[in-house]
Amino acid sequence: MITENQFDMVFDCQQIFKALMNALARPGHIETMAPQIEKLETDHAALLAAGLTLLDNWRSFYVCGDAPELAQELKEMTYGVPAEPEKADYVFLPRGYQNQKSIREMLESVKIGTLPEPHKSATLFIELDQLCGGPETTLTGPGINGAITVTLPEEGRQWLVERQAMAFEFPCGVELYFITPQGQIMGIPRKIKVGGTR
Amino acid sequence: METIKRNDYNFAFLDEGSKREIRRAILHAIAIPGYQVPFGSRELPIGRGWGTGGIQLTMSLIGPNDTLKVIDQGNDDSVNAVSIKRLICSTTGVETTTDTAEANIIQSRHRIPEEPLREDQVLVLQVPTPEPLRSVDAHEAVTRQLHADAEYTGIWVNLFEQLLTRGSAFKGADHPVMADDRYVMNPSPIPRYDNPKLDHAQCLYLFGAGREKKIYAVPPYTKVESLAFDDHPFEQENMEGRKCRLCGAEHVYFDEIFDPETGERYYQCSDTGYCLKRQNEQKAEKEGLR
Repeated sequence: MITENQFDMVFDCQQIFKALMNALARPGHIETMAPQIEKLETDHAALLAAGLTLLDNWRSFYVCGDAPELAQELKEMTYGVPAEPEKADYVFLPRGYQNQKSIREMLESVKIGTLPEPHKSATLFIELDQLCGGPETTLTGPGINGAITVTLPEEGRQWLVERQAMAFEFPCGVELYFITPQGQIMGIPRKIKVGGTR
Repeated sequence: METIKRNDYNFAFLDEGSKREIRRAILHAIAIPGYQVPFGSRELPIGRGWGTGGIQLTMSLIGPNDTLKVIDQGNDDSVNAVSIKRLICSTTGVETTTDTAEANIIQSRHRIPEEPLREDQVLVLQVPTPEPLRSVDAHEAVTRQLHADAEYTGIWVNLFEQLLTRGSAFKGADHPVMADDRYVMNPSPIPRYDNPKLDHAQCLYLFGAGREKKIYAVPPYTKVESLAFDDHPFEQENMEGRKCRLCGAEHVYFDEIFDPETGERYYQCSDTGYCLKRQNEQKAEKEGLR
């Protein structure tokens, strides 16, 4: 059996978690998990990698759009529990999800936690072709030194604008991760605002 | 004494399911600065209350290429620090250091190192009592609701009572702070001298309470304000006029050592790694001059 370059559930998951953690602690900065993604020979490998790191039989997930193979792999490899978006702890949005639901519909359906238990909320992993090259957007909030300018593609920017327009009462809210198929990742926690001053 | 063999355990002692549980809690904690995320605290070969929250955080973060520093009240060589270091090293094989600048994961009990921490560093603090509202109400369901409503009157009353009865509103250690204008949190029993280091720091702070089963965090560049009254502004311990007897440092946090025979009081840096680094630099300078 060839074991070289096989995805390692201990060490590769640790590296991916570090990327997820750093991305969330430093919103707007691009982290990478490319070396780990290369080991997963599947479509939507970056989303799968995030799922392998966070999911198990104690957490539920929902895959939006037409990616049955991703849902199947997440279920079989992690024992994660498939659920409706209203109940899912982790929501995966592979490219093409727009055919099924709009951004607003998605944000209206996922769970946002409660004021006493805001951690019982969903984390969304959104697959984008790239994390730069779009219009300039200024972000402010904890984790950002003053303000940071990102150039997320219009679709990514739309997620941020829509989430802000929903005006979830903090501490309720959802975390957004933007992921490219190559393994670049950007985390935008619930308290990050588009524009504004600190 | 029986030694732990690397291959007897999973990498970093905890099983992968436990790490996932802790990692999920860490991500929620970072997203909501100061909010205490409950988690399934695991049994460890160290009694609860001896740093198990910090150990579980470190074990979930650490990878084979990381460099670890563990301190206990600023000291790299105390029993607690050495025991924790031995457990982590024997189950991961990572390098350890006493130099704050060399480490990328620093686990600490009751101190934040003197050297400013960088963006690529994580400071893990061991927390005995994470709930600042516990003195207000003994019930978890009540304190959770108080946090939800941002209802912190009880804490302000406690501080005011302390001001009236003891002349100072400030606690000797673990003085509560407001994280990002929303959650009051206990910064773990660090001296007030260290409280300002939490404000807009470059590094990520993670707080782990193993016995109380809570994880919380302060992300980099986050506003952290020590609670104080307008007419009684926050004050750190006064370190004026003190000097380290070993390295000559001033304006750092000191340990006081009393010699009962001579009646003399000495001061030396509480952060032993910082003190040793300064002593080595001074020695190297002297040798270079010769």
